[in-house]
Amino acid sequence: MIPAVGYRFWRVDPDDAWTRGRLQSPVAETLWPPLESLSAECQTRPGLRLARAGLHRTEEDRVSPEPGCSCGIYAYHDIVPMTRALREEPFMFGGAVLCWGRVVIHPEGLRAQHVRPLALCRPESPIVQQRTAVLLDEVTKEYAIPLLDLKDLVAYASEFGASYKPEPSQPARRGLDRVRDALSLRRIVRRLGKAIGG
Amino acid sequence: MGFTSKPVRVIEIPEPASEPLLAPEREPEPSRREEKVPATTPA
Repeated sequence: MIPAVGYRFWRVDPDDAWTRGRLQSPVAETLWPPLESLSAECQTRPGLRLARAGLHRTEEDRVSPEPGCSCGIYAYHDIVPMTRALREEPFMFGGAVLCWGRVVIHPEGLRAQHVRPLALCRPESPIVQQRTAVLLDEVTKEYAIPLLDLKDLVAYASEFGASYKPEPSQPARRGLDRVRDALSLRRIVRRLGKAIGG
Repeated sequence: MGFTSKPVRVIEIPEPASEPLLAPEREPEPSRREEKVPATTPA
């Protein structure tokens, strides 16, 4: 089984001397270590909105991500939701990641145990490109990853792993299958009836 | 970042084979010395 490829975004705060040049998870505020993979840790606690079944971090035999919890390192299967999020906040940058270990698959993305960045994506807007050029140069050097145009990101990432996006469910098809099953059941009953009745 | 849908499956993926993030620096291979051809004297 080959590693999973996903797409996500990070915040890079140019005004923070401590985190400058480092990728930061926008929700958990975790700093991603350069040249290493990041491993998931459950940070759910009582009262936290995202905590569902959570609180498994005290159980030694359980690892993050837990299917019933909201923990893990998040990534989308596609680039579209990633780019949507980038437009909402400045100094938010998108990119591709490689995921392995325990991976919980959702229809829209995945939650992984171990993740490392593969590439960053150059902002689409020329104005943003100009404003962030120096910062992105620092980040990509720090993590030893390339800065790619959005159109090249998927092709580059697929060199390292595969998408684990589930096949979309087809309710119309399922309905047809049910009708077909019912018809064939009726046919079987009819044939049985004929066989028994002569 | 958060998902609204329920998980559909859980998989275990082995760690990928480690690969260097940067190409290792290599010293240029020494070029072959040209062998001296012994001067032959006409018989």
